Amino acid sequence: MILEMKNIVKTYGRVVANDNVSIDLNEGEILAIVGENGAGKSTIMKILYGLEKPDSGEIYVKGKKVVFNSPSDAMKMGIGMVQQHFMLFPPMTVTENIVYNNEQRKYGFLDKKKNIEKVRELSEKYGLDVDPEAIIRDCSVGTQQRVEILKTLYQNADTIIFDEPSAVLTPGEVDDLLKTMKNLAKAGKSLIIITHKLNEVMEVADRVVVMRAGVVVGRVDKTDTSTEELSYMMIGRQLMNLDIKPVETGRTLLSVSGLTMGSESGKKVLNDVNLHVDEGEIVGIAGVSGNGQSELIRCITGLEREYEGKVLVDGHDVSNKTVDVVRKAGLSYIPEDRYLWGSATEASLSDNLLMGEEDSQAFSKNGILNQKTIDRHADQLIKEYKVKVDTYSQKMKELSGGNAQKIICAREVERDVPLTIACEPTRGIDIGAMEFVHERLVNKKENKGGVLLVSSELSEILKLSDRIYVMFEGHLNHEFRHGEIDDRKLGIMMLGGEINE
Amino acid sequence: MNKVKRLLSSLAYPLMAILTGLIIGAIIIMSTGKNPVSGIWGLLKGGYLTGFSLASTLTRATPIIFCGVSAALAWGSGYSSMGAQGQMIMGAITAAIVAPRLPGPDWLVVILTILCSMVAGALFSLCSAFVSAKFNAYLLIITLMFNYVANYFASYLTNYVFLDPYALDKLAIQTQKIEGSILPRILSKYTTHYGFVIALAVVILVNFLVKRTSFGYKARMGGLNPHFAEYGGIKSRKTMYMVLMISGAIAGLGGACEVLGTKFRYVDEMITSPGYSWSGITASLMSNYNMIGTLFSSIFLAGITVGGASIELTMNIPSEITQIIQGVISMLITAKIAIDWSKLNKRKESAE
Repeated sequence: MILEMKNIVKTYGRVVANDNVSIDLNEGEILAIVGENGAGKSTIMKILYGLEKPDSGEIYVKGKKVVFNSPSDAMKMGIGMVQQHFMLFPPMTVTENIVYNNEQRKYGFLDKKKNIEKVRELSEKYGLDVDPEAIIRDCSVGTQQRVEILKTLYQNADTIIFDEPSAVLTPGEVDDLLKTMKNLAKAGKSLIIITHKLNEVMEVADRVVVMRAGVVVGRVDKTDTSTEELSYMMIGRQLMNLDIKPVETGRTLLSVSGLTMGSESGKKVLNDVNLHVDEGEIVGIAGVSGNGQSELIRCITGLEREYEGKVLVDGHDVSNKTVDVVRKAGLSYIPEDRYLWGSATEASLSDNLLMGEEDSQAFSKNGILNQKTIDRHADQLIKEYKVKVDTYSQKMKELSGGNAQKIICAREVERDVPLTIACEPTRGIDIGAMEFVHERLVNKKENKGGVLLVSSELSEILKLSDRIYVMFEGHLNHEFRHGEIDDRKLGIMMLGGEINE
Repeated sequence: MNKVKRLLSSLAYPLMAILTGLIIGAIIIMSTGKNPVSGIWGLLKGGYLTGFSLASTLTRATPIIFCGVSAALAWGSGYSSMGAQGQMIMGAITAAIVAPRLPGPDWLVVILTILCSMVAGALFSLCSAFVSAKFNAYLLIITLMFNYVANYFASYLTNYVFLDPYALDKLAIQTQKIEGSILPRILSKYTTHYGFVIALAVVILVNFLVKRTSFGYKARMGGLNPHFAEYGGIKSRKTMYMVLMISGAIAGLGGACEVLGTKFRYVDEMITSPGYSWSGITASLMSNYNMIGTLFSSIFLAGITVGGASIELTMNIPSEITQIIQGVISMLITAKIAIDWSKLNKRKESAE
C-alpha cells in the first residue's frame, strides 16, 4: 500500500465536509473518487495535497505517518496533482514550465539543452506527446494538461491526483487522456481521479470510492459494479429516465442571419453565422470553447452591439439593440458564468430572482416595489426548484454552486417569454441538479417554447437537442437532426475535421 | 434571529476598525506622556456624553451625514464619485447668494433657497458625470478635479463679487450675513439646528429610494455587480445620470443647511477645511453604503472630532489625535474594499 488516509474529519463552520473518511491506494492502481458536488471529494484531495489541514485523522505514505502543511510537503513525499485549472505560465515554453523551480544547471546557470533533453526523455518514457520548445499559449488544452502531468512526473511524483481532468477536453482528447492514465499505471504510478463522469470511471479505474454528504458510502471494484449502481450510490436514488419526445414545431422564435463580427486584430471572430430556433425545439450548439460561442451569444443578447447581420427575436428585429430591448422582445438567458454575469452574490435571493422584472406590473407600481409579491414569487420558485435554502432573504453567496445555478435557471426558464438561451446550464453542478435543469428545459420546449443550448458537454447536447449546429472558428459548419450523429463524429467536426463515409 | 446575526456580522468589521483606531489613538496619547485611558474616556465624554457635547456633535455631524448619504448612494450604485465636496460648496455658495436677495416671508425664502442649492449641486454633479462619460475618463478623478473648480469658483465669488465690506471681522473673506431666513436651532441653548432634522429625513427618504423602488433596485444591483446589471439590461446611462444627480442634490442641500443653520453666510474654505466630505465618504464606506449605518458612522466621526477638541482644551492633548484615529479607520476600511475589488476582478479575468 503506497498511501493511506485514516478517519479524516474536516469541518467548515457547521458544515462537515469530511466525516471519518478513509481512503487507501495501492501501487500501480487507478482509484476513482466519485460523488456529487459538495460530497467532499475535493476536500479530501485538498487535504492529501496539503492545501487544507484536517481537524483529525492521519495520513500514511509508504507506511510512514506524515503531516502536510503545504503542497510542497506533499510533493516531497511524491504526491502530485493535476488541477482542473492549469497552473502554467502562458508566455513560457513547455520545458520552462515543467522544470520551473528545479532547473538543470551548469556552473550555476540554466542549462537549456539539458532541460529540453530531460523533458523529451520523460515525454517519451510515458508516451506523453509534447513539443518541449512550444510556447504554452499556442498549445491546445489537451497538450497543456499533458504538460501538467509531466510537471508532476518531473518532480518524481509516484502518486498523481487528477481533479476533474476531462472537464476541459474534447472527446478525442479525453480518449488520449484515459490512455495516458492507463500507461502511467502500467509504469507503476498510482493515480487518483476525481470525477463525476461515470463512463470514464468504468473505462480506467480499478477501484471506485463513492462519497455522499461527506462520508464514504461505497467501495467497489470496477468489475463488480455498473454506472447504474454507481449513480444510485452517488445520489441515493434512482435517476429518472428523461423521456424526450419531439414536439411539433411552430413559428420561428430566433433567427440569426449573416452575423459577422471582427476583432481588433482584424480576424473574424464570427463569420456569417446563420441559425434559427423554432417553437417546440431545443437547438444545440456544439463546439470547443473559444470558437465564437460566447461572442455569438453576446451579440444575440445585446451585450455586444458592434456586429453586422440580423437578429430577430420572436419576429422583432433586435439587431444591434441593447439588452433591455432584446429581453423585452421575448428572450431569457442563462449566462455562462453564474457569479460573474448571472447573479449578485451580496444580494438576497429575492433580489437575484427579480432581475429584469423590476419594472413589470406584477412586481412594482409607480416605481415602488411590491416587496411582498416579490418575496412570495421568490419563495415559490425556490420551492419549485427544490433549492436548499432556509429563506429568500439569504444572500446568494451562501448557496452552493449547484443551488446558485438552480436560482438562475429558475429565474430565466420560468420567465414568461418564449425563448431561453442556455449557456453551459449544468457546468460544475451535480447529477441531481443537472437532471432537474434538463427536465425544466425539456418542459419549456413542450410548452411551446424554444431553447438555444450552448454547451461544451457533448452528452448534454446529444441528449437534449432536436437539432445540433457544430461551431468551428466562428462559423456554423454543420447541422444535424437528433440521432443523426454520435459523439465521436461530433468531436472530429468540432475540431474542424470532415467525415468521409 | 437570523437577521440579528447577519446585522452583527456586518457590524463586526467596522467595529473592529473603530477599536483599532481608538487603540492606536491611545498609544499616541501615551507617547505624549498622558494617561491613555483617561484620554480616550475624555474623548468619548467630550464627544457624546453630555448634553452640550452631544449637541455640538450633532451640529458637526449634519454636513457629514449629507456628504455620507450622497457618497453612499453613488458608491453603492457602482459610481465612485468623490464629488460631494464640490457639490456641497456649490450648494453653500448658492444659498449664501440667494437667501439675502429673495423677497417674501422667511419660511418661503428658506425653502426656495434650499431648492436652489439642490439644483446647483445636482447640475454640478451632472457636469462631472457628463465629462466622465463623454471622454471616457474615471469619474473618481473627474469629480476630484471638479472639487477644486467649485472651491476656487466660490472663492472668486466671495472675494470679488459678493464680499461683505461691512463685516465686523475684516480678516474673514465672507459674504453678507443672512438675517431672518435661516434654519433655527431646535433648542435655543444648543447649536443643533433644523438642518439635522432635514438630514434625518434625507436618510429615511434615500433609504426608501434605494431599498423599495425599482430605480433603487437598478442602482443597487449595478453597484453590487455591474456585469449582472448589464446582463439583466438595467445598467444604463439614464440610471447613472439619475443616481449622480440625486447624489449631487443631496450634497447641495447639505451645503445650504450649513450656510442657513450654522454660518449664516459663505466663508471662504468653510466646506473644505473641516473635511466634511472626507468624513462623509469614510462614514459611507464604514457602513458598506447602508444609509442608516452612514447616519450613525457620521455621528461617530463627528463625535471624535468634537471630543478631540475638548481633550485639547482640558487635558492638553493635541486634537490631531482624532485625525489619526479617523485615518486609521479609513485605511482599514479601504483596505477591505480594495481586497473585495481585486477578488471580483480576478473572477472576471479567469472567466475571460
